[in-house]
Amino acid sequence: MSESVLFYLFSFLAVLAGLSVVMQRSPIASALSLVVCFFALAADYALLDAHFVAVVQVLVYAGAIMVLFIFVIMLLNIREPGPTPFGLISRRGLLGIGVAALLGVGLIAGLDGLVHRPAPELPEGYGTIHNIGEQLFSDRYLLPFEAVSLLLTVGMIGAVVLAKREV
Amino acid sequence: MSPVTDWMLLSAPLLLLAAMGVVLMVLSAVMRPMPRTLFWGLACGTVALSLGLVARSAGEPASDAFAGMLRVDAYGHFFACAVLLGGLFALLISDGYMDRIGVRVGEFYSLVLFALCGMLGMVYSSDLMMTFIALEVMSIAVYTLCAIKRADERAVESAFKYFILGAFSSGILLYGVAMVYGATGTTSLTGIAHFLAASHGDVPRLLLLGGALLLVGFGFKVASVPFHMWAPDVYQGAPTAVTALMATGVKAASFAAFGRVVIGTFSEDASHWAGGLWWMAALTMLVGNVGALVQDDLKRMFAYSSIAHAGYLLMALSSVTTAGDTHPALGSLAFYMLAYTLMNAGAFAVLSQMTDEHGADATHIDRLSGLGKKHPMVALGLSICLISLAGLPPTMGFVGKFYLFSAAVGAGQLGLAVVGAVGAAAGVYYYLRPMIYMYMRDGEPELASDGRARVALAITTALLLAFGLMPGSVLEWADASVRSVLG
Repeated sequence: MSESVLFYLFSFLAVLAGLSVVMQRSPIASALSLVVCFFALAADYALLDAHFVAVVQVLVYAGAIMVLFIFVIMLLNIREPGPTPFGLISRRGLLGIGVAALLGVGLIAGLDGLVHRPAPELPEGYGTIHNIGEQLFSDRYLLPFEAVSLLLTVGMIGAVVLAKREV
Repeated sequence: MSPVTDWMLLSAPLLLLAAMGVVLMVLSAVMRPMPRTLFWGLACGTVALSLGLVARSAGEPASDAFAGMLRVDAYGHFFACAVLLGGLFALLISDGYMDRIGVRVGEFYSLVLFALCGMLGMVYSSDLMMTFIALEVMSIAVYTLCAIKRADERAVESAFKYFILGAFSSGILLYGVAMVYGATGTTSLTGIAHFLAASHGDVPRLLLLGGALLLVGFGFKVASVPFHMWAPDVYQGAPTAVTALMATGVKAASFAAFGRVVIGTFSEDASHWAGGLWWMAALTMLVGNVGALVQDDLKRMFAYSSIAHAGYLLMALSSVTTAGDTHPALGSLAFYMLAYTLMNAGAFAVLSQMTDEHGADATHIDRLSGLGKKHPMVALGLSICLISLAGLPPTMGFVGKFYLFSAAVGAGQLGLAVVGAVGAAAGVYYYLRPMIYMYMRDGEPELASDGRARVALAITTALLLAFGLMPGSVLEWADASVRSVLG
């Protein structure tokens, strides 16, 4: 029981932080809200017995990627835009809100039939590093795992080709 | 089957392309300046060898690889051939073209090979997770290729636009995959098909939402209306050799993955998909053809034409989905895809030779004036490609369109066939307009003399005529390939 209370608490926090990411005017504040969102998600993962994913979420997302984000924002030296009059939402903003609302309604309607189903029993060793390693390196997910390394290589080559001072 | 045999046998072309991509990456770091002919030769040789490997295994029975991540079947082989042919022609025109526009980087060839590897992954993938990763490998390589002429502001701008919109659509696709997984508990296409078959029409709403998002994601990748906004700018801005790859390989791979998901899996639930596909197909055919009418830049015109052709292919997809096994011309989708690849490869082989002395593209339609007198063979080749694109005999495009429309009518999609016919009629106008410039106007057209591009043009036109006059065996193969997905 207490677990599900915690789960909802962290989920709520994640949603709040997510809203804050898109509504903050200063990019740094947005980025820091994103850190909060990532931590809350990590807590949710841990509560769902996905311990490895939770740790990786903190290490990779909240740690490495966010540091990079904040570095870039500071390097770019984006000036905070001046305050806009209250209640003024651009047409594009309205469109975004509309699409998000549509998706949200769809998601709630879609989840309707699923939440009342009893959760299935977790298999033995679920979420352990042993199990994940086995899945990744010998079983079903060997090919996607290797393909992701190719994806990273391509991304790296692309970044170097486009950003290097002279080719 | 064990992973070792999977690697060795089933995914040999994939492995070969990725390995040579890495080799070229390393070579381009140590060999400076790049020895052009060596890089070009290695890349072409690799793609040709992969094509040979795919063609050799074409007759073998279908099998699963990597615990169901890949499905190596006739459908995959057919589209893999289309993709690799597109890649080979793009490479044939790229050596001279990239040199003319002043981009001499070895990474170009490495990225093309990686992109082709991603495309093959999409073509063979039978798991949404694998489809997504392969799609990203392809997309990221292509984003980079679009921006590879860094000095050209328009190219970089269009590449950036493509990147932002593409990343967004990938996100939507992934969201859809997550929802499908949430509803069915699996990302495997066969698993989802079993789930749908067992649900007897009572499909969970979450799955419908996931399916809708998949439709949007794939719709973006194949440039269908209303997700087509990026195509004209990107096709025009990107280097012509890259545009050729996008119009052939990227399109074929995206349609292959789209088709496998729609035909192989979600046709179990056709009633929910048919409406969306119908509207997408109709709008895409209309907007593409009308948009192409007013273009004076050939690259931009071909962008709209590629949107229009995405519409025709969506019509084929829509009719296979509604009619299923009983479909009279199942292969029309695959056959038309191959035809489309060949005719575009030929047309872009000519466009790639239209560069000015500063290394910029000069693809305004005026530049074709008098081509028929000065370069009769090139003009003839381009004319055959254009006639094929317009869907007139005796070319492969005619046979393809004929089967496409008869398939649509046979599947009871009369409305779509009418919309398509109106669009195709508009198509005749804008495809024949360049021919009027070539043969009936006087001018001093300047065409770079690029032997390899002309070889590409000669091969494509020969194939277009050959398959136009004797479509039998290819059509049979196309039929068998689509049938293999229906299971």
